[in-house]
Amino acid sequence: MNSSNNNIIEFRNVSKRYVAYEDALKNVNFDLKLGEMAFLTGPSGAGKSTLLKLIAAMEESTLGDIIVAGQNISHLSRSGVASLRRALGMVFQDAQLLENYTVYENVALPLTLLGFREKDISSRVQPALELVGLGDKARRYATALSIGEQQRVGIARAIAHKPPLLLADEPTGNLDPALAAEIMQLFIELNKTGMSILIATHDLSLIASLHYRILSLKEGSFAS
Amino acid sequence: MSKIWRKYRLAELASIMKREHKNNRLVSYLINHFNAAIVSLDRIICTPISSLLTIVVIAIALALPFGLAVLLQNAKVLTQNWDKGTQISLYLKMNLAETEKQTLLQQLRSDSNIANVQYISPEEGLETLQKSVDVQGVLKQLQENPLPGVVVITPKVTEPRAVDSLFNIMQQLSAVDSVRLDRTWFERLYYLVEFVRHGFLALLFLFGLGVVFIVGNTIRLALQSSSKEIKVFKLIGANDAYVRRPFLYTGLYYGVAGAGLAWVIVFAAMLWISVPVHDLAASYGGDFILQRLDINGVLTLFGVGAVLGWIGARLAVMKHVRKN
Ligand SMILES: Nc1ncnc2c1ncn2[C@@H]1O[C@H](COP(=O)(O)OP(=O)(O)O)[C@@H](O)[C@H]1O
Ligand SMILES: [Mg+2]
Repeated sequence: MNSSNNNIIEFRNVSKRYVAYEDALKNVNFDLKLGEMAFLTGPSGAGKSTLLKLIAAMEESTLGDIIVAGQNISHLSRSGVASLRRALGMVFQDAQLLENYTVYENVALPLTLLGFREKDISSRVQPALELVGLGDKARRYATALSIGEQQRVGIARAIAHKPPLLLADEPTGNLDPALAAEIMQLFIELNKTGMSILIATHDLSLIASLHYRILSLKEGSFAS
Repeated sequence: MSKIWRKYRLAELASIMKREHKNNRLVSYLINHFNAAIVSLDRIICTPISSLLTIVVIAIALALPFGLAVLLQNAKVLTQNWDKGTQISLYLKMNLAETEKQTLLQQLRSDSNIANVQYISPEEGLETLQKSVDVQGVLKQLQENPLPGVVVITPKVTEPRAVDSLFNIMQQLSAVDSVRLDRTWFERLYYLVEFVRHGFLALLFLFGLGVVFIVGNTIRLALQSSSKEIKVFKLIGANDAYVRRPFLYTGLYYGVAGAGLAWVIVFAAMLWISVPVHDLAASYGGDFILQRLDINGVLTLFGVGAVLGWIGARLAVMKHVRKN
């Protein structure tokens, strides 16, 4: 168990089956070290989103154990799932913002859930928005923004509470190449502060020049 | 990156997962409640028409049983007043020894079921009779007083059955010749009031159920229209209680607002009937003051409204939030 102390994520023989005889993930084993950043790649349908959903307990594994920060999350209670998600930062493929809320309120939400004080919230939300280049849009409604901007609000929301682990599912999928490169740079900066990051993307050109570990999924398994 | 720092990050994540966040839990709990209270108020204001409709329906459903309760309260006051006139007359045996009479009176006075004991001697009886039925001195010419001594007792109990049993006990007293009790119409009124009281409870139950369903349905619709919002909340890590809370407050507000409006309705209705009731009382030479919903009644009304609203919301939310 000594080696596992340095892993923030561990997958032990994990399989996920949505429908009979079709494994979305087949006997997956991997570790993500504390403070490590890695990319999860593979064609559409390879199981990237499924893998991230398992870590955030949005889906339950069919077989195997998933250990996050030393805790087996395979059979969490409902409140356990909620606290796991509060602890993580998650960027979703579609931003998943609250429509009738301002940009500020959206980014403040995870901090509120964690019980931060009002002044601590404001001292974190604005810098997070500056980081994604939306410092001047805090008072706008989320729906009044472009898709790309919404995606960046989603990123700001995921990092505002400085989570130890950030999961991102196609975070640049809706962004133009220049902006996508900029966001990638942002993730690199965050990783330098010690944040462990796992990013799913099918855009190999975006990560080819970066020197990070690449976990390549194909039909639910890692190609080694 | 130092090893210690790495450990710290891991410990932080683990502690958040174990819900040991360092912020004051009570304070953030109260803040969450305050926020939910505001958010749900906002939600009600944002849908004024449907909210108002819900509140009016709740108000009507609550006003009916509680209006009946006020009428009942009034009827009770009336029967209590009339009840003071309910008396049992004990006609004593003729030639009863003075000591036996005194023993009887003593016994009656110490009976906890009897509020008042009044002895009318044969002489007093005769005097009264002479005054009331003036038979031109016929009674005065009697050699002997033909009247027995009479003890008039006022029962402390009001319930007809209890009065009956007291009546039976009185009949068995050895010093008593016969007993008379006249209160048939009072008895009828008493049972009428009892009947209405049961009706009130049945109505309260039925209409209460109605309120639960009305609130439940309104909250169900609210949940449906904010299902996307709920999904996002849960993705970010809001627990069930957090998601539920604003909706429970909404139910509570509906219940309390409905109770408030019900109070106004009952108040107005009582004002309206107070005029004919006053006239009626005046025609009997009485001055009956119509009772309004007293403070206990008002508190009960608001309490019932709040609880029913909360239950309705709770039922709606229970089914919905579970569905992840
Ligand atoms: N909710 C679901 N129900 C049934 N099958 C699903 C569900 N989600 C994903 N799948 C299937 O699991 C496989 C992996 O999907 P996914 O993880 O979304 O892949 P990726 O994100 O790499 O494109 C696909 O074959 C997909 O059809
Ligand atoms: Mg995907």
